[in-house]
Amino acid sequence: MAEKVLLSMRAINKSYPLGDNTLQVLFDIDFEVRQKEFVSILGPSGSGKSTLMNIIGCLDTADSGSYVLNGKDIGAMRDRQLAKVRNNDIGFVFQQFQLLPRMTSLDNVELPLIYARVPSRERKARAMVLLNKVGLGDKVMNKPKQLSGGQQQRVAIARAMVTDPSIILADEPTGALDQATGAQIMDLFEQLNDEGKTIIMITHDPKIARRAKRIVHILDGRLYSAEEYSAIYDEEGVKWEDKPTIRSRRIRRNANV
Amino acid sequence: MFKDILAMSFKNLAMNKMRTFLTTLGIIIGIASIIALITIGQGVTSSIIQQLSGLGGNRVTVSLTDTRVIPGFTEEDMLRFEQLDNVEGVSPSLYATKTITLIPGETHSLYDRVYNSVSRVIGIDNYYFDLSASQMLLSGREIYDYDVQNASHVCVLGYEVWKNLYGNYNPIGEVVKIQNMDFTIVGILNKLVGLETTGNYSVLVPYTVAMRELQMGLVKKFDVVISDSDAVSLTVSQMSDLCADIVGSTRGYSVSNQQEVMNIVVTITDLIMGMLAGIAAISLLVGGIGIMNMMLVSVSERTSEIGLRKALGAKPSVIMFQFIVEAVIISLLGGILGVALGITIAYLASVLIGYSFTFQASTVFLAVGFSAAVGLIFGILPAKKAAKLSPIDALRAQ
Repeated sequence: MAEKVLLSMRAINKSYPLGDNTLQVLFDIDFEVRQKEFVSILGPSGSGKSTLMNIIGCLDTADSGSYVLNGKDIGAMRDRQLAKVRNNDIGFVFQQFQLLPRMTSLDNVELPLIYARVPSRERKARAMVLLNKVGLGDKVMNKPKQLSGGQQQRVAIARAMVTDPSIILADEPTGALDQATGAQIMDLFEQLNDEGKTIIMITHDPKIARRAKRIVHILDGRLYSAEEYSAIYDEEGVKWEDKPTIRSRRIRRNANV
Repeated sequence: MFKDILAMSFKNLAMNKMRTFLTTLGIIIGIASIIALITIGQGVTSSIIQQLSGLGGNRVTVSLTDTRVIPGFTEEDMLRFEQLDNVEGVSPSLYATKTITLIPGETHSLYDRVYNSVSRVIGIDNYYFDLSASQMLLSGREIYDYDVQNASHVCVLGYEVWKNLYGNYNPIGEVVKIQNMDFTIVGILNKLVGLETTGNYSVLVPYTVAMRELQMGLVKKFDVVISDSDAVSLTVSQMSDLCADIVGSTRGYSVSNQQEVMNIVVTITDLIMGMLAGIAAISLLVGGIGIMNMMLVSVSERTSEIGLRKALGAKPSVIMFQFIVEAVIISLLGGILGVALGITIAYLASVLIGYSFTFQASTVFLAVGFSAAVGLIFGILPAKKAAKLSPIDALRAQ
């Protein structure tokens, strides 16, 4: 791959206090994303994927390890600077859309630009361009309640794109949608990726994850590439070494007889 | 960005109209009571000052406190005061209680028989009618200088005396007997308020008549009117010397400036009003706590919104600012409405009590500024709480 590295994590560890003890959630995560990639992070619930997403999204910071995003050392940053990185470099797409219910689609899409101190006229123009792009040019004055789930997620994607961030970070973007609508949203992500957007998607659904160009697996706080993963687990997520061998089956059968 | 945040805050407040109004009400009541009390206080004080200062102002009262030294001042003594530099005139007053007799046939009164009324008689001159800036006479004419010089038998009735003797009838031109001497009524006093209420229960006669014919003795108390307000203190000291000379002692008399009395009155009314306003300020404090309470509820209600805003790049300071702006808008709104309500109350009070209504722009600015400060102070804690929310926990709250 010739594209430059956009996101680079080295030996990231994260633990949370749990009563008197601490619970380690992430173990020595090494992760790299290049420009124009479409990566999905696949893992079951409790695998630490949400924690990883929070760290990638600069919503949380790691206990140790280094994280460089778009040439910026995130680990050394304070709240104020993290907010700026979230505004400039990351576009969030959430499972529950997270639109503000009292505001129109247009206002919702404009919101990140307000925090980027973009003047009102330019904000409106940029938000309109993106709403048209996601196919909601005729729904700009609608409030979230007046839109279907798929349409709401499109508004959220427009909002994620509006500051022209380095990465789009999608957390279970189809989790609250039916199959067909979910597929349409994935089509939109593929289209955006083809146009050059870098997308990182977190999901527990292998079918959705396969729509990305690269899959990394997360299990019990450790990250595996697709090759490493298939060397350890079968397609159903069962460890090869835990599978009964022909020899053990024979022994068991004999014992039962 | 400030404009956008302001617009967002207004939108949020408009969403919960009832809650916003009730919270605002706390501030409205607090500010209204402060404004009303201060304005009423200012009005009453200025009315008192007006009545005290009179038209010419610059009155110095000379009074004999110990009649054992000398029985009183004679007309010649007063002439010496009148001859001092910067003295415009001398206005004596003599007080005595006399019987006023109304005889049917000689006068039209409420009574169809000989009626005796005991009343205070004050011997005065024309300066008396300058005592108050307001209209002293209800009807008729003042006692003029020529009445004093000629010792003419005329009198002016105090308001209550007139009511008592004649009801609502016009007594001007009627003749009453004071100590068996005929006096023609030439005028009626208005109902006096403030510190000059003695006039209401008195009959005024020229002081020359009072001294020479009604045997009211010598003058125990007179006012000296000073023409130049800059020369008051100088003239007062000259007057003290003159008094000492006449009395023959440094004790037994007092020379007091109206200004001093006025200062004391103003100090007292200020003190009372300040105390009342302080009590009213407590209600403002309660209003402030109401704002804080509402803002805290608002923060916990909008936890996920705050989380989202933070995820989209709102800095903690921006979130904090938004919530402080909301608190300040509420309190400022309450302040403005409170000022309007307070001034209305003060106006109604001025109509009911009967003092002149005035209010100062500085009071309004002070109150509005004060209410904004309340919003700021009580908004900080909830705003800090909002700013400190972790975006992850906040997003998860939904």
